[in-house]
Amino acid sequence: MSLTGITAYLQPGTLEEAYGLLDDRSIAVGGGTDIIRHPHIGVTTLVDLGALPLRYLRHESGFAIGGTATLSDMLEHPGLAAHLDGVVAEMLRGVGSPLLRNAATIGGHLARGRYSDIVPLLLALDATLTLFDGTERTLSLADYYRAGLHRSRALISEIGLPPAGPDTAAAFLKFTRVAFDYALLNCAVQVRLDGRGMVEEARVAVGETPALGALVEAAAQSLEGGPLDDGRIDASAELAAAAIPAQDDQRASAEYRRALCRVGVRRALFRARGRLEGRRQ
Amino acid sequence: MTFDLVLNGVRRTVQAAPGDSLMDLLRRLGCKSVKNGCDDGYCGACAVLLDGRAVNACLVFAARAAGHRVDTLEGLSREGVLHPVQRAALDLGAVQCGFCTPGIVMTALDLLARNPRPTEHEVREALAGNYCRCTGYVKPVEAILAAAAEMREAAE
Repeated sequence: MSLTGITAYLQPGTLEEAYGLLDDRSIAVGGGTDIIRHPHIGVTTLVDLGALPLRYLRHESGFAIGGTATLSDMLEHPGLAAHLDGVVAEMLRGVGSPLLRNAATIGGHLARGRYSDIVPLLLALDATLTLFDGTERTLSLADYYRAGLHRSRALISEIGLPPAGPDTAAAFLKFTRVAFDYALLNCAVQVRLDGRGMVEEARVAVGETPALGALVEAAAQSLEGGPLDDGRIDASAELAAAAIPAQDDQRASAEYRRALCRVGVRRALFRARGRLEGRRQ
Repeated sequence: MTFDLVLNGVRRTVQAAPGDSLMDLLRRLGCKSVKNGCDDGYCGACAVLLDGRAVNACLVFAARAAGHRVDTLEGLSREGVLHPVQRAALDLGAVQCGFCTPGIVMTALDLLARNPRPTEHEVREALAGNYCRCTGYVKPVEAILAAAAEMREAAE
């Protein structure tokens, strides 16, 4: 959908230059797939990040994903596709369509900060972001949204995923009306066991409540320090259902979302436990 | 604004407004295979290859194509001989009203370039963003699988 009222399309070659071009009348463009669908009042300049050298995906101890890597770049990267039993690829296959994933960038998606299956999973995986807003700094994805930085001009240059050992497993699931739709609710978990098989660290994230995905600390803390047994999984799911900021919207009621959350978190934890058990055999 | 792109293998100097979509530009340039189905990224009827990857041309800014390769259905046939995916679509009854066909063919080309031996499931996943409102999904999948087999034979 062509946008009207745009008078300049700029393609800076460096992050510094790109950041310097951002003001009240301009907007940064990753893949542009969302920006092009909506009018932007007062915006006259598009600052296309496509020429920046940020389209990369490196498998080091964890993963370093450049801000303009496409969702398809992530889905097709063999190392990332194998990471944590393929949980990232499994989630991405349900995001939009291949045509959309070939154009949409991860940085653009995270900066958009709404309608996301990606955000809850990356929160559960303890992702970090490297931002540029005059200087470069790295912070957790959770802090990025907590501070509302997705509404700022800060540019995302890199997404980091920490390494995960054999005692760590994750799972993602979502509920939708039809396959090609935003989720009614989604959730992601990551669990790390200690040498005795007790939960050393847990992360539970729930999204589309309908707010953007966020960590549910109470649900995670209740799992830590004990075995990942049925009772503790049920208790964690109950806590999550009670804690999420569920609201009614045109997609689902708050009550239904809490019911989905209870089932979703329980299933995700069971799935993560199954993956941990699968590795010991 | 004025910029160059390589359209169907030919370098072209084109003019576009800074807010134009690639779909609107391509249709203005005469590439009417790029269908405006929904102009919102759902239907896939405007799918073209941008540097070899199938994208919704309605969701990409035209200026993004500056200095890049764009391929549409118009560039597929060689001296009147259809591309194997086009041929298979016709021979195997994959074309009903035909509106979605160009987008499906371009999406199939992206798939087959990366995966010459796709399974039926992989073809179906690749077509997840291409709607056919005649609901003729079975024949296009069969045609793409047949074309893949033919292209593999031709490559050997």
